[in-house]
Amino acid sequence: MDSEDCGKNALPEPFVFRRLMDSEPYYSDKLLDHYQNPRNVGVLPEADGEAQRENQVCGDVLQMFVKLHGDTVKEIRFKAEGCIPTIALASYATEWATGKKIGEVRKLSPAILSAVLGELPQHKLHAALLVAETLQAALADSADS
Amino acid sequence: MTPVYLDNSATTPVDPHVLEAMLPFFTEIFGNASSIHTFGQRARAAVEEARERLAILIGASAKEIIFTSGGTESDNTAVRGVAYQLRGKGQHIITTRIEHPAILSTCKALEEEGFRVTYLPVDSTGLVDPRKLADEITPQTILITVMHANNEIGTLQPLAEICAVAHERGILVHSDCVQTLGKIPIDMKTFAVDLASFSGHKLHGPKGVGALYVRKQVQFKPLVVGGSHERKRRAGTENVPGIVGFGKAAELGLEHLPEMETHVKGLRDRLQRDLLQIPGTTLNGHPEFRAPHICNLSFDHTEGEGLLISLDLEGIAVSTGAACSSGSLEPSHVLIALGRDKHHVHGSLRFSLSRMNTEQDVDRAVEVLPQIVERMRSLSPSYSAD
Repeated sequence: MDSEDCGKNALPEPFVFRRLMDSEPYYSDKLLDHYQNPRNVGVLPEADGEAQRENQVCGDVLQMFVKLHGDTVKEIRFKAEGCIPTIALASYATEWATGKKIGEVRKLSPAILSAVLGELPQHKLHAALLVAETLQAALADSADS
Repeated sequence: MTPVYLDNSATTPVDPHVLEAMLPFFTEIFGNASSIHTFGQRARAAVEEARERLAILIGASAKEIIFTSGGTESDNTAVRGVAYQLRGKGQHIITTRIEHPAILSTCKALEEEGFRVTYLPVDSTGLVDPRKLADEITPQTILITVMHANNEIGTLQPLAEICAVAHERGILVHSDCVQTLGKIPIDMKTFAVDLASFSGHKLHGPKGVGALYVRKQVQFKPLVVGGSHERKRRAGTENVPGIVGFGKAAELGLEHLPEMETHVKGLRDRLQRDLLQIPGTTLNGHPEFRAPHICNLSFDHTEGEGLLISLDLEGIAVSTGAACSSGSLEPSHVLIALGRDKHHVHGSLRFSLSRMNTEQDVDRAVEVLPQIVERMRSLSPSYSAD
């Protein structure tokens, strides 16, 4: 609709835009769902690979365990002490990777994770980095064993 | 679900009486308080009445009060204003590591202009040691700025002792009193600070209005120039509705002051006592010397932002000093200054109450939070319930 058609009481375009932006939730529903109902939480005592990484600045800690079947990821579990996107993206990554070929899972990068549950704010990108790094380290550990 | 607001150190709901007092100043009483016609003089009278009300609340003379746009402007004005006024005498300022960013950033900016600033450490409860402060004073020291109550942990500083140390040596003292106005009695006749910052929206007034108290005969260079408003100490057309609202909030603040030590402190103490029952929970701040409305707790093996959002989903608003939640990766400079390690800071929450909170609000927080903490701990790689 052209702004001139809005009628004399309508707000000018920039204000409408601003108002819509302001009403955006801080986190997407999908992200909050993974945070509130995290999938694949726990440890795998029989894991083929495991890794723990920590963000030295903010203190988030993430642990991941992978169990393989041939060249396929059979199971993944995680434990985390971290902020909302860390937990949500760890949950997402484990759900997504389960049943996939290792080669495909290796392509899951921080850049992909930073947008997959809605664009993360700049100061939250560390969560995508931590999840990607921990997952790749767990896969690397399974290759070593 | 009735929302529960426990973030009153961030801002408070406007009292309906404050709103009612303000509304005519958006409509029929719209005059510029500097105009000499009737429209202007009605606005002027309202501004002066508001000034009088704030003066009564803090035991000052109305002439000692300058209206500003808020606590941050008041802090900036006080520190820069005194620094520029007295730079010929000396260029050393003493403050603390736990000040509000309005003070710390102003001090950092002054350092770039050649001033020297000492940032005093605090003990594990957030208290400044006046003897350590005395040791830092030099002949170059022109200003000591120490907040009254810390906005994150509520610890109250020994301002009487600090003022005694400073005044013995002829040094001015400023205090950011944003968190204590209307919370604990402040009487400038006995409270010896020379300058003090206040904000309207922390005591059920509107946002965008604050005040700077400047003791009679204390000189400073104004920060905002361009007019003779506020006795040439802060230029700019007065925010009349805001000032009227602040005045009404000050009047109500005085009326409700006794409730702070009874109702508000009572609620805060019960909230604190009940939440400390959660294993692995510790208090940040001084157990005794603390503003009556603030309680900052750390829950081991949790993360503040997650706690905050989980509480928000239950309709309960609090705040956190944890990293990540503030738009930066850095955890609270206040909790770090107490000597807390980053894991302790990681799971910190601030609860701040007002006279508008109820027993039911506390009941709800106490009912909901333990489950959230437990759920978060069940995700932790290092937590063991044993």
